[in-house]
Amino acid sequence: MSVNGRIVTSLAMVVLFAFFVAQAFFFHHEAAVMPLLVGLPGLVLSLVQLVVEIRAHRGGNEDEPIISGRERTIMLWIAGFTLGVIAFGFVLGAPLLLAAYLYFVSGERLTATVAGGALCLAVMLGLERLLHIPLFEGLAMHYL
Amino acid sequence: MVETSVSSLLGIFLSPYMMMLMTVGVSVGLFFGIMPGLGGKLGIIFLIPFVFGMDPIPGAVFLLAMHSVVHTSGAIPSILFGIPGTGPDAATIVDGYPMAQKGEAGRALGATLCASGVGGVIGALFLSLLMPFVGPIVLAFSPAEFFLLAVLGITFIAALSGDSLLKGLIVGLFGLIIATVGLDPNSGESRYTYGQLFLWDGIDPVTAVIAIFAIPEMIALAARGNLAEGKEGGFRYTMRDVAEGCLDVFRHWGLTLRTSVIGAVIGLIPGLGGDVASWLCYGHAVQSSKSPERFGKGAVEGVIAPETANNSKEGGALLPTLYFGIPGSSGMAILLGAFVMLGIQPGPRLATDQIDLVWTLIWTLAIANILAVVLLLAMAPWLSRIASLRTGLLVPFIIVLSLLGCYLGAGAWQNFVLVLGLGALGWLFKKYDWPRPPFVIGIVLGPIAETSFHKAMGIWGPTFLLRPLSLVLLAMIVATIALHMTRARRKAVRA
Repeated sequence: MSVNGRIVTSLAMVVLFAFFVAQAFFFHHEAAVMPLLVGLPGLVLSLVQLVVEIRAHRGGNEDEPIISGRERTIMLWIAGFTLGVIAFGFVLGAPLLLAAYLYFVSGERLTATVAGGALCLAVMLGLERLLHIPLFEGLAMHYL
Repeated sequence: MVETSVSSLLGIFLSPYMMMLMTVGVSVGLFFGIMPGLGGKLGIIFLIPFVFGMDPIPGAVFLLAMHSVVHTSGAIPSILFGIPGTGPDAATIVDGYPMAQKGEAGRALGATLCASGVGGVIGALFLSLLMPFVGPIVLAFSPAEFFLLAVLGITFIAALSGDSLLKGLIVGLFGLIIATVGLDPNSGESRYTYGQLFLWDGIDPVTAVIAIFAIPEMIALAARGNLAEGKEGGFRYTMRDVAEGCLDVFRHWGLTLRTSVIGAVIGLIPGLGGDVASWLCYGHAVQSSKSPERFGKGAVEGVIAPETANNSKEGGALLPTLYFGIPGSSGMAILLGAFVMLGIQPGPRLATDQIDLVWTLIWTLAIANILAVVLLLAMAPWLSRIASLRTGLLVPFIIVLSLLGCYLGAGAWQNFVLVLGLGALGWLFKKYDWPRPPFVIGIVLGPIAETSFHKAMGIWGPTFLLRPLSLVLLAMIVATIALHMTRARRKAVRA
């Protein structure tokens, strides 16, 4: 991707503030005060920042790829971890995904991979059984 | 006050549970400091799942013990590999690394460990000396001042935590607007919840902080790989060398004392943080030396000055964090979020209702720093091996524990979706130099700012801005912005 990341970031802030401000107009007067008090200056400042970035870009700042290959990989893994935990919970999903990360991304040997997964499982079971901390069981596990 | 102070100290020393928590917290903190790229912020996030359900005081002691010693071990990779464990440890490289290169690694390590310990203890003493004066001042503040204090906090941190004041203010305001999600405290109307029950209590600050700080750090860490790889120097040093370094700290007692106090004072000023403290004190060491030409080539004073300041600033930073809810540094900002999760609400009521907690935290700072020095001195012969542990092994554990922290903070799996969205934004912030600490200040101070604003409007109407203390705070806000703009203009002219 060769979009200018600085402009994208400023634009994202403009969109977010515009959304919050637009929604605030539907609230009751009392509830809308703070969102408008904060959102309107935020929107104006974000627009100024966007103009600054666009001018800098026109002035010769070169586009650079937003995401490098390595960053994309780790982002996909974080998303995978999240979805895995949502589906299978902490006790099952987390150790499996951790072991998969160690093997495929970190390039660890099978013994280190298994040890890592087992350690993660032990931590999860320890939190749940010994410390009685309720862990998320996963949506798929809940329905199965 | 003396009675509370002594009973808090005894409460820590006489409780095996508290001492065990401190030892574990300090060990984790030392580990996170010694690993290049990890640092105290990720350390707190790592520990959040384990403090869930703890009572506020033990939980806070555990987290503060971890956080306060990160810089003690952070200097080790600076000295041995020329890689700072955390940002503020960079100043230690200037003389610490050359010392190691010319065969004085043990002496440099000894100096850094003792300087950190002494700095941490002096920082805690500095905080305890301020205690009698701070309580009455904080209690004199009304809702009007608390609202303006929140605005001042964001302005301060926006101005000092990055090059662009504009970006800092936008991020701070974004934190404040995120804090408005949930039920309005006055009318009870739901805002930005779209029928999602988990949003009724607002966006969980811990989840937001993990998303904005931890996720981008993990992406950067995994993308960078292992920093210390292939750099293990194979330094040989004896405990005698390490002891020699320790003695250096006391030989230069004047410098140690001065830089400790400077560090603690810098910690008091929100947003300045460790980088400023360590570099300023390094500069002071050079200026006050009779032979400044030795600096940069392995002068032990160049190691002592930044290390004392790095640890003593935590004492100063704890004061605005606890009493005003304005963190002195970005690490303190995350610690503040974790404190809120534990049920500790920062603000003036701590000065009256929970003074025992405040004293316990002061003693924790002092004891944790001493404990860290003892542990590191015992481990001195093996330090270079620990620092070269592969980060590839750690990243997935931190991902899992971050998700666990998000879930336990609010008990809702939907927080995972928020983490992905806010994490992407946090990554853009990190990549394109948008300062992230103002976001944490915004989201933590948001509820206090909103309630104070409504109270102030209810009592005085818009004239609350004309109260004497309000005018002082407004003047400080304007001065902060003006000072930043003048500096930026000077910088542009020079360039």
